[in-house]
Amino acid sequence: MIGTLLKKDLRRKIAQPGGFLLLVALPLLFSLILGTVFGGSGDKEVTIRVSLLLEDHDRSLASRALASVFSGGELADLFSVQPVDSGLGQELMDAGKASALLIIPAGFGDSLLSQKTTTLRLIKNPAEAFLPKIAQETVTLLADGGDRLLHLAASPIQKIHRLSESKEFPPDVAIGAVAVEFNRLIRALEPVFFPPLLALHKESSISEKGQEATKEPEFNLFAYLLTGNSILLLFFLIDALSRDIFVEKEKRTLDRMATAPLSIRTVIVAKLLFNWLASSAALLLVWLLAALIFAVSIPRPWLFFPVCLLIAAALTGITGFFYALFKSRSQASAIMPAPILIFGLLGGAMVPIGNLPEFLRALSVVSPIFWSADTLQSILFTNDGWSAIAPNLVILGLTALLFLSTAGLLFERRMQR
Amino acid sequence: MSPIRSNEKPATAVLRVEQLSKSYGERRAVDAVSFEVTTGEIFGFLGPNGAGKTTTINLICSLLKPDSGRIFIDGEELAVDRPQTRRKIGVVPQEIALYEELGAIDNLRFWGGLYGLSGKPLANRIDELLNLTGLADRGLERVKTFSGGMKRRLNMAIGMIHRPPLLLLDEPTVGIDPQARHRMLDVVRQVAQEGTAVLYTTHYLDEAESLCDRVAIIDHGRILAQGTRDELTALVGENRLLFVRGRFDRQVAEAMLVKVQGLDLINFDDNQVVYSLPTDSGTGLFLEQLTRAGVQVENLAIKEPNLDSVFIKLTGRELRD
Repeated sequence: MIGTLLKKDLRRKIAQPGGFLLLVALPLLFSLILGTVFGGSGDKEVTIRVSLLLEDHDRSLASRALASVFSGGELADLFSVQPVDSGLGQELMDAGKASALLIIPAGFGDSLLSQKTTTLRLIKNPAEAFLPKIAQETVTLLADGGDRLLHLAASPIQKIHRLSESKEFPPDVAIGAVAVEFNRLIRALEPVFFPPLLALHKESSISEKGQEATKEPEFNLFAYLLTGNSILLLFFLIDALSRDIFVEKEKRTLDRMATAPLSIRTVIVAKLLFNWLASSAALLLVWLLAALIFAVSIPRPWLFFPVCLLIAAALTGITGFFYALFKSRSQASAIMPAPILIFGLLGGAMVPIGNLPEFLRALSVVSPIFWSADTLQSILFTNDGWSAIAPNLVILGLTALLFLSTAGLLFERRMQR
Repeated sequence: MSPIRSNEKPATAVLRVEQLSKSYGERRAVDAVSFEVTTGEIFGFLGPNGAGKTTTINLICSLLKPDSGRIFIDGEELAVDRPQTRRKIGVVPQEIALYEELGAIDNLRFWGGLYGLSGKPLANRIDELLNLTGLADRGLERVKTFSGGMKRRLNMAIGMIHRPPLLLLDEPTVGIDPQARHRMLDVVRQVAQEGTAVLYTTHYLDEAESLCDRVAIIDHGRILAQGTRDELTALVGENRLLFVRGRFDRQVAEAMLVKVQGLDLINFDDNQVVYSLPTDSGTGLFLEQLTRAGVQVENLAIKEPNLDSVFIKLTGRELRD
């Protein structure tokens, strides 16, 4: 009998799929926007690259060495360096095409060799907040480091400078003397820098006692935001699905069903069951598409997807409970968005919980969105085992059980006239 | 208008209602109603809007819980906690209760499924009903594209999907054109001929007279009289009703009773007086006496004995009031 009722509702949704698909599409649309904004990808890190224009007026060995610093090592991942001709840099900056412009003045190399002060110019893009600061900090660090090195190596550098000014090619002995001096300098400095007295050792956390240490799943900002938003939008989807009981009441089909040889309880169970199945399908679809389109990594699907079903059950129960108290479709439409939005706010779906005032943060635990998102985040971004996730699962399970049964009983009482 | 068909009462009571009552606060919607409907019989419930017809139907099909009284279907007492008894009832509600986004066949399939039908028997029954109601060529179309009459016919077909021994029809022809109405009444007759007991509520006098084997006249929740048409019209005797519209006071109206033999005053108000007069008495004397009394008659209507006469006799007002 329940199968017949479910098939009927499914046929009705398929016959008029517009509204239902729109509600299913909403989280996907939201995902798409989030994905576009954050360039979301599970495998690739959300990387930030500073676009740096380089105007080299010197074109000496020293200026080229400075430029090569940005395109080698770790700085190469952070900076995208574009050499530009004289005058073009300012033009591009005015057009807002880069984060910063570094100008190496003419005579830069000679000044270094002759131990004279020289000035690098860094022009920042005022339209950008963080990236020009990164460029400034990096250039400052390089200038300070270079300045110390130039002072330490002042003697051999002066010798190189003298040799370079000579019109004749320097003799082997002179070159050898400079090399020896550099070698001595390095040996003298070695005990100062090596071995390092402070070292950073990076390691992963151990998931559970007795288990092997495993690598934490990669954090993905897009997936993180999607956990809260997908659940908030799921709430709205269940809200829309729940209105069907009033639609059937208005169309008198609910009364007609009550004249058929089935109990009112069967009708109510079928309605709640349909809402749960449809919302579960929608939530799973959102995450499957997030995985397929935005390469969101779902590390433990065998846990993640059943948890989605549990979340959908809890939200179906809560929505059903509210609907059992409403008297009409218009009343439900007017009131229901309020608790959903409050749950969304407290649950961190709209504003990160950490940014909420302290008294609101304390209230987060009353929001099913908080527990749902927290559980999904634990699965996605940590190696938390059962012992860590279990309390959330118990809370969601009890919520589902309590609210589904209360909603069922209230509906039954109201429909038995 | 064809006469009510039979005085014979089939033996088996499919529906038996005993002292059924339902109140809403102080108002008694159904007041100690008792009647029975037997196999193959069309039992009419005739009364104005608000008389208690739909409430009685809703009590029989378990949509409402009675305050007192008992309902038996095929000898088995109906109880809310025993939904299986409802398998024997087919309900055609006054409001069209269909899934308009689905096709006619999908609607019939769903409701058939609720009554435990499936597979070929269900498919055959759907074909049968679509043919019976003249919707065979529209079965796949969505109900929202149907006319009002077609929706009414489908609404009725759904009530009959499981071949119930008892069919409850609550004003099924409200708001449809005469042709569609005629077709629906034919379907009801056919269903009754096949042995279904039919409880048919209406406020259309002609429907009750032409369709029903027996009729109960209901007003303010109470059955005022029930029987075949002959039995009911016998209540008013061989009298015709005279509706006189004009201006006269009560004394004049009552004085007429002395002047015209057999004249009876049924109802009086400032603008209209209703008399009954034996059919063998001419109306000439009545009109003469009326003129002599100085009454300014605006209109005179004469009504031959029928169920409306009975209703007026029993309630003092016309059915349409």
